[in-house]
Amino acid sequence: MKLNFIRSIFLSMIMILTSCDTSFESNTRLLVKGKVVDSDGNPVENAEISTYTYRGTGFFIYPAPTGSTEYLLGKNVSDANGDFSVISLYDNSSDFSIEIKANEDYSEYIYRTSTYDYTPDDYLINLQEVTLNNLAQATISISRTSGEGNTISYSLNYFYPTCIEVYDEGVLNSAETFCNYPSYINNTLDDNLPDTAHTLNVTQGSEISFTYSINNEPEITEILIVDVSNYQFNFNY
Amino acid sequence: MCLIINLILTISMFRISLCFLFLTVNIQAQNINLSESITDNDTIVGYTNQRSMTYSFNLLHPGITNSSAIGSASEDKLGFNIGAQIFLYKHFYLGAYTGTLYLDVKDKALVGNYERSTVTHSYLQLGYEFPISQKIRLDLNFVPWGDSRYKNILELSNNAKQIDRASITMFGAGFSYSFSKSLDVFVSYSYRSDESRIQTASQIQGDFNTINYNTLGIGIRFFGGKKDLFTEFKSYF
Repeated sequence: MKLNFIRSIFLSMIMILTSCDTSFESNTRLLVKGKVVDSDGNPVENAEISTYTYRGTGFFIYPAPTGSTEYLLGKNVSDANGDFSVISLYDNSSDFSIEIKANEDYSEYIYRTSTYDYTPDDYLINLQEVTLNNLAQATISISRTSGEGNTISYSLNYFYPTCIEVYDEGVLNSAETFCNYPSYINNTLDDNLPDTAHTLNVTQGSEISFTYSINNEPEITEILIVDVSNYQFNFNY
Repeated sequence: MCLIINLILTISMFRISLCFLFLTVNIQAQNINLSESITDNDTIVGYTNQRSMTYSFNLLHPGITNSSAIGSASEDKLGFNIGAQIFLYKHFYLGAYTGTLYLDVKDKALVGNYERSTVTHSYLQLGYEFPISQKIRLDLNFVPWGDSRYKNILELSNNAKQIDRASITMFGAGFSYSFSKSLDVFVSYSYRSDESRIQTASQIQGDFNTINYNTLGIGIRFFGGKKDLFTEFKSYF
């Protein structure tokens, strides 16, 4: 009798601790609110605001380890004034995020935090005003017109427009946050590959630093200002 | 920890329901033995139309109202209920019921990202039956305590879910018609109020506090026995 009881308890504990189901926080809804504007401060309508958590799946010991499976917990769009509110399920996760995307004319914003041991005050995350930068597509074409044997080494330095803000218990973690973080391309063109082109998504109005050296001559730097949505720059060497 | 407590509560409720059913079956068996020596016109308990217990099965149209976020977001489907009543004194009865309702989520922006809720409920009911004639009865009842569990399924194709819990109170009325000595057909109406345990931002808390239903039911009821529980016990002394 006693053995059966212990066996029942043991089996029950195994069933509780192991599960193929993914279960999110019971009896909880999170409210995410804010306003989406563009670089000029104008409201962005129909921006899509989504909350996600990332979980492991399959046979695991509770709580699940951080995995790569993404679960959408809530979604809504901004209104004509750019205002939004998202009612979302909630998850105690080390990788919880809020993503804001508009159309291809705007950059993306990502709010990332750990909710593993943290629940926002009043079950509310107020993002206040979120700026999505107006995007431009910059095409940089480099062609050789000087004949065989000539080479060019160059670099393109620009700022990647996506903004990822990391928060620890509601406080911005500046060390892990990167908005408009620097990116670069280094390359050399020679007889094997004399011509090339790069298409970059950058913030409209931003600068691209183009530094080059032809046939190992001293470097020259040109600043390209991306002032239109479809920016084209052609360079011949 | 909550998972374990919920499991214990669910098992406890299930055991209470089983005990109740076992009790009614026992009393029914005893009544059948006693009633072998009496006829329909006997006045052994001083009034007619007395029953000992009933077992019912009915289909439900939940009739969820728009008074809550969950009600506004959901489209209800047919559900079902099974239960048993034991007559405590004359036509006063105590019932125990369990059943399931189904809700399809049409507007996820109001409640979070899930597609369907399976709402299982268990409750105890107090009521009184008015025998209008030999075949027709009016039933008035009240549910002082009950428990409901909203299993919210994120996608029908995976096992991701979230649980909301609520306490039930309910008022109801119904008519039944006796087709034979042991079978009723009945229709019922009940106003059900689920006080949810959902916690969310104070700004939207009011939308999640109470989920109301105007529930219509139709079903069959098997009944037996000719003495109430009080009379049954009195006969032992």
